[in-house]
Amino acid sequence: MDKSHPSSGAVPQPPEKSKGKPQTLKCPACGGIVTIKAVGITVSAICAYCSSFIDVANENYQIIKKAHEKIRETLLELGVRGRLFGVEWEVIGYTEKRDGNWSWDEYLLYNPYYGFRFLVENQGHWNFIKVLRKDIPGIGDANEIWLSGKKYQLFLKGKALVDYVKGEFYWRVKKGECPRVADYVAPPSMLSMEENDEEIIVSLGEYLEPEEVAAAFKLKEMPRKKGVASNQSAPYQGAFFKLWIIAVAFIVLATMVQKTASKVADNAYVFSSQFKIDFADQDKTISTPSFVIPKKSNVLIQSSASLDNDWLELRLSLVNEQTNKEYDIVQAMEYYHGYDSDGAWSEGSPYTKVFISSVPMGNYRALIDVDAGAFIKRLPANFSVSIQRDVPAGSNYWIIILLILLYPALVSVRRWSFENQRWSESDYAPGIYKTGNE
Amino acid sequence: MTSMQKLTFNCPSCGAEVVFKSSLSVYAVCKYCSSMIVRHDVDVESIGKMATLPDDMSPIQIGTEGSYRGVRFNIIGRMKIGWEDGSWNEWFMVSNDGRKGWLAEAQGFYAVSFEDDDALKTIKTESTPKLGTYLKLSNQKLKVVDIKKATCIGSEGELPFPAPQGRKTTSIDLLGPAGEFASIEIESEKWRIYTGHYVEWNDLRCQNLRPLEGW
Repeated sequence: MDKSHPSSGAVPQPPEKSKGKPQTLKCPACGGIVTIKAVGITVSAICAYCSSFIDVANENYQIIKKAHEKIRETLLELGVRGRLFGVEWEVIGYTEKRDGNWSWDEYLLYNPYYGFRFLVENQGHWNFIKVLRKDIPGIGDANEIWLSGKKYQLFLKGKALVDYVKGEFYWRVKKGECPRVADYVAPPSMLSMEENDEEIIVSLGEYLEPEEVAAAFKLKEMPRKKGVASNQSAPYQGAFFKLWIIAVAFIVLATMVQKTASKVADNAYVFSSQFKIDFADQDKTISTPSFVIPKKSNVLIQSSASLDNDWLELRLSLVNEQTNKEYDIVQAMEYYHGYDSDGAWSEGSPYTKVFISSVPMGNYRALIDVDAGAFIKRLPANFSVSIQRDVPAGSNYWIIILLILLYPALVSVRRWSFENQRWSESDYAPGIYKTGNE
Repeated sequence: MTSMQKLTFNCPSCGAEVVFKSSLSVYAVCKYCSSMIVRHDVDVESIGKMATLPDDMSPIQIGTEGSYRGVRFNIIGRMKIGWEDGSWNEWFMVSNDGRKGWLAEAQGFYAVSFEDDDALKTIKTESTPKLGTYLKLSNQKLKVVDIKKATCIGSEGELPFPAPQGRKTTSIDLLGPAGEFASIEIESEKWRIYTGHYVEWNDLRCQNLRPLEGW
């Protein structure tokens, strides 16, 4: 005889294990059918027909508050599903909250495996929020909170008055309930605290671009972003320090190249002389002795003249003796000075220089024509000319440094103005963003 | 494992086979006739009938397997606990290292904890702790975040103590800075302490889940 079941009658069968499924109930106020999705967890449900609040914490459904309001339409409707962070979520509740004139929307998301999340829309900015089961000492009082190696800065303290609700919730919903709230930011994350007389709820939010929400829930039109959100990432968030490190690395590199080039460069004088000009010489062309440029290189020509409220112009030709190729330059100097009602003044310079960037190797001489102002009459006049070859070009170096710095500098300015805009909404702005925020 | 030594009895009420999968279990609900059966050394006794458990959307069921810190566990029983503002599930689990633990499932959160007699020795059990205060449980400083008057709504499968409907306890939840979890259960004067952690659904790596309509 089989011992496992009674000898009399048929083999008993255990009841079929039931599938988990949504539950329906009749609204005790209007008789409408109310569907509960988070069965066993939902405590409050709002009738979709008459907006009455129904207590579903136990099986004697009770009306908490009778109502005859029309259900409001919302951007995300109850029952829609969307995939965020790799998990499918169903919108099962909606709350409109308000602090003074500032209001925002909170959608309650549900997945029977992963539990609940909140999707919050505030001025066109979105946050995906998860309640944390962690003790965070100091939250709500401290000005900064450290969590998982990140520093969260206090952004606001306020209230969150519940203005409107629809759907179902895993807590007892009361319209007009007004918990204290505090937000701490470490963009793109936000640590929030909500406190009533019974408990403190801590949650961690992640900034979402409206496009991500639109894609998840197949929405066409999204409310436009206004201003900067408290935990919106600044331009180049995360990459910002990298950007500066790269810039510094390039500066180091450019400096090394420059140093090496300076050492390698011959930086040699091929000609240097002083000239004295008499009246008789003024139409003559001065010719320098022949000099050698032994390899293709740049040439620096510097001139100076002893000028006193006067001008001097040198028209100089660097002539290749083999090919007769000429490099023509003009070196103009003028220097004026004096006194007026503002005191001493001066204008111009008795010195000038010109680079010729690339001169082929060969034998050269320079031909100099002099044109001068009044000084030629106060003879003799003095000027000097020097010619150098293979000069390290310092000016290129500084241009390169400037170009390297330009982009990170622009990004820095943009970030600063972004952060300034962010913190202009906060009473707890760090010192550098407090300007014009009083 | 000794804890997973099967013990088989016949239901005193309907005669069907009642299997205690774990030697840690002393109470079971007959899946045929819903009799509550208490196991003594050599025999079993029926202490009445269990009413049907209210339904829920839990993905867990008796027979579900999972992992906690690299150790597999089996779900062999459940208590459904009610309180003023709702209800939650306490799934009784036996882990492959022979410990009796609980997978608490409340408001979409999961916490695994094991009965911790060492922690019990470290605290005073004269008066209930106060909300918001810190308790030191075997070198862990945990905050008292919740104190509830709890009532057993029903139970199924097998459990380490009798859990008839209406069993009343005080349930105290404690929380640590890294998601450490502890629960103190006071039944009349008897204290039990369970310590463990909150766990993410993905980390539980559950198998043999209950089918859920639409998901």
